[in-house]
Amino acid sequence: MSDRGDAPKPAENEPRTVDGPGSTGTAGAKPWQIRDASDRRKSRRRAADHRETLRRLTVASAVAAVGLNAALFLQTAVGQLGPAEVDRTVLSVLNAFLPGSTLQPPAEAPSPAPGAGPVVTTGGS
Amino acid sequence: MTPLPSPLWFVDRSAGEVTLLLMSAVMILGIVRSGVPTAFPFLVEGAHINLALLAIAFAGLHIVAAVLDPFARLGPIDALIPFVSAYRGTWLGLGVVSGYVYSANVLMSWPARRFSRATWVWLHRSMYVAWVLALLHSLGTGSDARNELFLLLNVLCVAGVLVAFLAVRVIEGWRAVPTLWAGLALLAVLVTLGIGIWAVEGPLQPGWARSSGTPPDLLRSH
Repeated sequence: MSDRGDAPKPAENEPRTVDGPGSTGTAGAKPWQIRDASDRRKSRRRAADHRETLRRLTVASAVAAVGLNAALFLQTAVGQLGPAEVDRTVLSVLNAFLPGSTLQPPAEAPSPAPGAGPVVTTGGS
Repeated sequence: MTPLPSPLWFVDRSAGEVTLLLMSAVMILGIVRSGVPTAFPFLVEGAHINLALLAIAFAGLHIVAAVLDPFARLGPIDALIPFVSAYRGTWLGLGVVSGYVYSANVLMSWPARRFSRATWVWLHRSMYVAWVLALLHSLGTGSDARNELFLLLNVLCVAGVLVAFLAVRVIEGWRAVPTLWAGLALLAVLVTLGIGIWAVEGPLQPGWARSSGTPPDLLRSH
């Protein structure tokens, strides 16, 4: 059986004193100075945590905004042009960015659902 | 022959709506920051600033797409000078003015606050005007006022800003000057109601495209 944990190092068992083993190594420092140093460390850690949270929040907001933009783009395009035309538009954009791609639009436009009437659209309305 | 909209036309419309959403989020965070200064000040202010800059990026995309898109034939002059556009000039002009007010607010606040705090606070309140103008621009110029998703997002923007203003800003200010803040609360509710009635009577009615100043050759029907 391992004796790990049974025999802690002396420094871990001794109370933190100004010049003791648990101190920050500032020989001759007053207790209030040690408290201040501890507070500063906590404050720095809290600030670092807040910065990290803010960074994550900002990245998440940016990703959500881009995603919403894409969803609204597709919705407006499908609503005005129809799915087939949107396929061609998206593929034309992809082909413009990836000239070597072999993406092709479907040979035939999708047939309308049974009973679906013609869609009336107003350009720019 | 009626020209078909290009992909840029749809980028323009979607980026405009996202800009309004981001502006609304920035407004809400700003209201919380000023009304409850002790509530996570670093996070709220940081998010307020970062989302304001993100909104500028989307507003830039909105404007560039509008200018490059051949469908509505908008040019740099239309994007820079309000109320001169042949395409829904009044409503487009409100967006241009909103952009200027918003840009002025960002310039006097970032990367560091300019002016004394009291002056800056008063000038910064012009963001309320910028936001209302952006909302009117979205409903009046926006091609998607009757689209359910766009309408839902617009309602969420208005509700979010109004609730934040009434529940945070007005309640906080009420303690100091009740009469003033009661008046401002009433004004906010009346402005919201007015915009709502106008939207129902105008942009949400069929035929708004024609009456709002869309050039006749862009109006097509099948």
